[in-house]
Amino acid sequence: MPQAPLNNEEKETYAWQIPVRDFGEEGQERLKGASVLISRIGGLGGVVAYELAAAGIGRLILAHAGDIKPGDLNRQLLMTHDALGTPRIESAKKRLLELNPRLQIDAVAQNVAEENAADLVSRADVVVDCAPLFAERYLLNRQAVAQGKHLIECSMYEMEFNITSIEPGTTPCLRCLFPDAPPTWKREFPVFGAVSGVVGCLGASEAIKILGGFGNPLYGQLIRGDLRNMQFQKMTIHRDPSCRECGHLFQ
Amino acid sequence: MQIHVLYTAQLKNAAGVPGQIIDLPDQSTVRHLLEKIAEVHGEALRTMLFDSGGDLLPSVLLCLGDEQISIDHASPLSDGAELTLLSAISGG
Repeated sequence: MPQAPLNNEEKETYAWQIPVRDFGEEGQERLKGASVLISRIGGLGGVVAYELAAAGIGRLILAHAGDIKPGDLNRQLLMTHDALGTPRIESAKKRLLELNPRLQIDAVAQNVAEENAADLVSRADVVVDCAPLFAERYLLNRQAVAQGKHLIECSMYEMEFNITSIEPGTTPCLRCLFPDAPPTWKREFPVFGAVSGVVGCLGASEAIKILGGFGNPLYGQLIRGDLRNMQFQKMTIHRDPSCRECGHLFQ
Repeated sequence: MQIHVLYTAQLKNAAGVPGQIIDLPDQSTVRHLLEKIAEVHGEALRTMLFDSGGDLLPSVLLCLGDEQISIDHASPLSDGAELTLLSAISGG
């Protein structure tokens, strides 16, 4: 990962995290030199973006179409009531720059699709998948595998979440785990903002570790959590040698 | 023998319970367990586990204890084992 030297203001801003063991000023410089793509900045991706902006990531590529609706406001913390009816991406950009005016933002008012997936992924060192549609998630997975980019898979449902980190050619990819989407999946599903916040913070932590070069990302492991009863489980997961997306990387 | 089964997300809704203990004959396998679960819960859960040909749906991931496992895992289950059924979920 590229590094970018810190100025005095940045050293002061990140004084509480630079002393983190195994991170240091070098890790902070790596975050500053890094680019992260977040697919959708709603309840889940918005928290990932906010935490990465706070941590001093150099550049965020944010992809999210549409205008703010009342139903967004139970969890989409980058959106505000007074901005109802305006583009989500503009509200998100404004809030992130209020927190970190040094942050570079590629604000893309589109969702990930066939036409833009390759380009969006090519701009990033790490991709964080927070999209609600499986078509988008599989597109990101395909491009991350094809371009050898780290992909953090975050998902949620009601009071539950799953998270894993993918390193193409080493770990299972999304297709290895779930070769196809559930047949009865609905675009809108029940969830609290507190749940998207939890998994969003976990996703941001994974990105910080991968980019900062410290700690142990969830490679080959999946954490599932159920906040209804505070039950957490870390599972060992395996690649599928016949995976149609990444199987060729292991031949 | 008794196997502890944990359901997640949509599978939990279809089962109507977060988990349960399933009684099985000794030497039963993962496939036997899933067939028993589908039998106990009927169509609501069966259609979320199996396709019309009886194959496990590709949106379901199985973990025995803390280890991902295939439905075709041949070794018999052990009394007291715990199987988690994970369904693919997304963001938003």
